[in-house]
Amino acid sequence: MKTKIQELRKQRKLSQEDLAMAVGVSRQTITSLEREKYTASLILAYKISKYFGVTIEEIFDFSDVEEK
Amino acid sequence: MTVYKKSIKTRLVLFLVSFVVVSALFAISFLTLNASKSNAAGDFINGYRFGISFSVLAGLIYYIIYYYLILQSEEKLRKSYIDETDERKIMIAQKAGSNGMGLVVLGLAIASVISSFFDDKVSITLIITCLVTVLIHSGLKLYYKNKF
Repeated sequence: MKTKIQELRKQRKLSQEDLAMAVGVSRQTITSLEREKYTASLILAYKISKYFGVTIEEIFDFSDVEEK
Repeated sequence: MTVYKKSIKTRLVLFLVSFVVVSALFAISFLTLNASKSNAAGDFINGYRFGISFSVLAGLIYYIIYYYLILQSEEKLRKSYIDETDERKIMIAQKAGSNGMGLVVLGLAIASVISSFFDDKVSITLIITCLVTVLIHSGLKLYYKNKF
């Protein structure tokens, strides 16, 4: 899933480690999220959006999610 | 974090008790060093019993020191908490079947040590099975780590 995590993180001059500690996950998880290899859970998505002060939809791109 | 700190303290106590028990087993394996037949398999089994109790002892000492140091620092405690509750790590462990595989490997290891006192062939077969299971599990974890 595409995200704007890297963009928002760099805007605030944060390292992956800083963001990881702030939202309570490992740095590898942040790396995987930014590489679009891992999809965050609802709780993690909420924590990240709350940390950046934006909505979940502004960070995570749901346009690729297909309707069955 | 209070609950996690309490669980670390519990683990520390359990590991200290285990240390005493394994030390006794280590002493037994040292004293029964020549209990098996004096052939290639027997020598291997003697070394295996001695080696496995030594490595378990070393592992226990490492974790006792690790948990003690974690309890002294709030930052280390938080890092350890994050590492243990990381959702991606938990997902990878679940996909690789870590819980089940861990129990199987532990059971095989214990069985291999107990059987070493009775039959060398059975013990060696169990050791090889244990190693193959560990390899398969490691392969699965590596696969899912790269995938996610």
